[in-house]
Amino acid sequence: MADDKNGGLEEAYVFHEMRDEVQRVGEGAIINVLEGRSYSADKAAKWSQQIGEEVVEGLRGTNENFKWVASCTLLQRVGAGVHLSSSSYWDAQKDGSVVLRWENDSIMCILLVFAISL
Amino acid sequence: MDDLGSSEELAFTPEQVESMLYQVITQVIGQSVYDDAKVAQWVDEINDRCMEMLVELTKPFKYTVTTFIMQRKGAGLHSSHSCFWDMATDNIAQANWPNDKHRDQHNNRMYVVVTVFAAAMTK
Repeated sequence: MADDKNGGLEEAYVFHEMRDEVQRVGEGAIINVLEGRSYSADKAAKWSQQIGEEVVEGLRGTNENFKWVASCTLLQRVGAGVHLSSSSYWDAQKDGSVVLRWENDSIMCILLVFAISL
Repeated sequence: MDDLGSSEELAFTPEQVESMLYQVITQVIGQSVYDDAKVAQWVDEINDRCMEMLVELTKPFKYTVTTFIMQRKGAGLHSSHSCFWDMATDNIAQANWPNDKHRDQHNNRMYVVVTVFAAAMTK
């Protein structure tokens, strides 16, 4: 009776049921790592890894029905043109992805999260 | 004699896929210099061709292809991938163009990164 801890996240078998949660975890990880920071060549590698790991840890702990991939790209903002496109060959009913963008004066962050059903 | 179900044929081989990714990049970019009007089209074309090529391999995998093109203006760039999947079967193939083996012979003034995430189908 009292098992519905996360509002149904644990029982989700199709991605669109968890899209909001994935977005929330992704945004949380980005803000956690990058808020208040300026681009640093020394630290950017570590930051992008931290964000990716935090997202995957956060999601796999709450739902075991998917394989999870988080791809985080950090760019220094110097006015360079950037284009990113993604396409997927998978189960359109169950699998899904979320793209998150975040920026401040010196950093642009693009985070892609994919969920592939087991 | 012909073991059609051999594990080698069904496995995802990053090296084999990576050389195909570089071929697609050079085919699409060719001698073009970074052009804001055309980049969106190049990105989609590289993505589509890579996906076609992967599907033609007829291996039991689900794929996600990401194509990223950045104008070369001295900006720093870092990218990382964190994956929770089956390390025995699932893998990533990535092409960073240009690099030592695939040089920018035409001063194209851009960086292209194509990443393929391959997750084995479990059913």
